[in-house]
Amino acid sequence: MGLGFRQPFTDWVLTQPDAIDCLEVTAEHFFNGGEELLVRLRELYPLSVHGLGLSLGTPGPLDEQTLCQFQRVVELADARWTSEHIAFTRTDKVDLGHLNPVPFTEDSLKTLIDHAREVMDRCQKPLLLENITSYLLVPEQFEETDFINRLCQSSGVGLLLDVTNLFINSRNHSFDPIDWLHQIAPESIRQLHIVGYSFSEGVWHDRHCEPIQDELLELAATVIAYAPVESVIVERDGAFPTMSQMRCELRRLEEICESARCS
Amino acid sequence: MSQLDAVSAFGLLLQNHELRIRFASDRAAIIRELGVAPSQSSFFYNLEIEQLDSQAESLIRKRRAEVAHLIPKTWCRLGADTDSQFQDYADRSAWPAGHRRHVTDADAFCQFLRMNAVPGYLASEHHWVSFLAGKQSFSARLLNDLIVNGEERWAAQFCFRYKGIAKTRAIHF
Repeated sequence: MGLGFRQPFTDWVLTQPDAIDCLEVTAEHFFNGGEELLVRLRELYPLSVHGLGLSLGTPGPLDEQTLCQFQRVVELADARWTSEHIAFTRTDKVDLGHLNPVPFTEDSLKTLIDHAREVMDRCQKPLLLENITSYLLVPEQFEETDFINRLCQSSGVGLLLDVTNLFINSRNHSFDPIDWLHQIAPESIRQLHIVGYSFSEGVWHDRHCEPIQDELLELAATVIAYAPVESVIVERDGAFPTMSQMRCELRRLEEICESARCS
Repeated sequence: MSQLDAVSAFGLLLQNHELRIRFASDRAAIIRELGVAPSQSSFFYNLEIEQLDSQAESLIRKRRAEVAHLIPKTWCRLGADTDSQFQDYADRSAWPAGHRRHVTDADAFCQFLRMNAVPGYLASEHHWVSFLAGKQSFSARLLNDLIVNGEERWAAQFCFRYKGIAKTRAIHF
């Protein structure tokens, strides 16, 4: 059970509370300094490094500067594994700054496989790729689940299953998240992300600023019972809770995951 | 003309509101105009316009949220005009690039508010985000809008980096 490290958690995390077994650091947060803190965190916890801006879904070469910075953080963190997204954030014409879906085609599959292999070669660490939320359904050559299975099988990456993103997509696009889950090869699911969803004007959003709701806990338990998940990371990017609230949330999640594992 | 891949063309549609409007009225023309490879054009014929707009709007919404987080007092002072001011700024300026885009965006938005003399602009928060966006180790300003207990005060504001972490302190008068 772990936490996505964010600056407001620093003091608490450095006290090494029992509720946290591991940490996930965001690579971009350490591109311009923070080495001392990263080394300190490495001494206290097993770390994984999560990237936001490699834009693995963009055709053409990866941005060399971003890849070098990512690699440097992975080395400093002595990461157990790295992770990124099944998405693109920029092209050579635009930088959109946030994650967007790629068409589920052979071309996109090849791009992602090539880029995933390059990241693994450069960092010499396993790579997990995460499903994203999208307001767009992109009916193409493959279903999303088929696309993910092919990606994992062909490139050797694992799946970082974001339970919240799956839930949000299932609500916004009216499908059953359990059916979706059962179409994914269980052995590929290595890590989970979870955070509360937001809901406004009839649409579900991933704003990362809500406590985890019961429906998400149930879905996380279903995933844990289905797949050999090694790590569950709680994310939070806004409306930061008190440390006592965060501890309660982590403990509750851990209890639910433990009982799902034993079921 | 070289052909454009589907992801690059999709990125342009997500970024450019005017292009999306023209795409909605004549997809074939925009696909031709962008030079999308014929083998990749089916993706664009299958897109739902409403969903495309939702995805594009989500990008602006995320930019707004990041900027609001960096300049909370300014954001609060802009009140009901906040979203329209930000949309106006976003329509008139280039999208920020790179992993420090959020502070660059907040700095540029403050600059937009200042240039247009928008009520609600705060020089003290602008100074802070400009410092975050830059690489200098120290910056000092004398300004008259530091918010102390809900009131604007004259102050000397200092921004500095200590062990790589940006901090700000002020002496108000």
